[in-house]
Amino acid sequence: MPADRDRSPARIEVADLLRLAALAADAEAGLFARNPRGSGRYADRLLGRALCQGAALHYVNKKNGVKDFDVWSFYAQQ
Amino acid sequence: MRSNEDWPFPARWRGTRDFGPSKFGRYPGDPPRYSGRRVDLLGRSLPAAPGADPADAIRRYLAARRTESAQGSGGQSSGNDRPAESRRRDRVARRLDTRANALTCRRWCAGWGQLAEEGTLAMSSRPVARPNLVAAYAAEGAGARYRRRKDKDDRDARTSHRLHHFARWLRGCRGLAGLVGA
Repeated sequence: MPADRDRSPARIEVADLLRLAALAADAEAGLFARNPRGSGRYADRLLGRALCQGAALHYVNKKNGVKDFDVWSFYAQQ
Repeated sequence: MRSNEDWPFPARWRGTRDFGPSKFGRYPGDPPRYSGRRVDLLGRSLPAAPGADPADAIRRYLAARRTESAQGSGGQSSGNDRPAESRRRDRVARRLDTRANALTCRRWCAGWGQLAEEGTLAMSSRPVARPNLVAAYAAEGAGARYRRRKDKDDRDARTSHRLHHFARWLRGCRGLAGLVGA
């Protein structure tokens, strides 16, 4: 039972994760292109991406419901 | 040349995207420009080499808890491995710090606060343009107290007061950015 009726109870599938990853990659490509000598250094240093917060909990327990998606990208600094 | 340690991934950057029409629908509270669920995007650079095991790098980042965001995530993912007493001390310190800042500002603003209550804006430069008001306030003592405390001309004092409020506003913005993880 979702905690909030505005939250979606639909299950998050792998295809949805791939779409989220593509959206993140697109947004970050814009960031890197705007500042190639700053944050652009991280363009080829992606470690991984993680779905976090409520949507991640919903992915695990299928009860929380999805309000929005929070995607974190982690980059190698060394 | 600067290394990446000198230039971390911009932790304040926060991207947003629209997931688009899908089985998830849309959140009614989101702005109308979102046709589907909102996607918030954040990033961090971790002290790891390219090609390192991402799960291991993220686990070490959360365990180190050098930042508030890592502390928050670490608390959710790895449980209460931090002593409760230490967490309580941090909470008390933060509360005291907030209270001290508020008290300092209240004292600092006392003279101008009185002017504000009497119908003029504390941050306004209008009283300078309206010498009759300045004289009236000085006669009542508020402006005089302020000038004595700062030991400066009232114009100088007003400038420093503006800077003081500007600094408060900046701190508020930074705090808000921290809350939303930007």
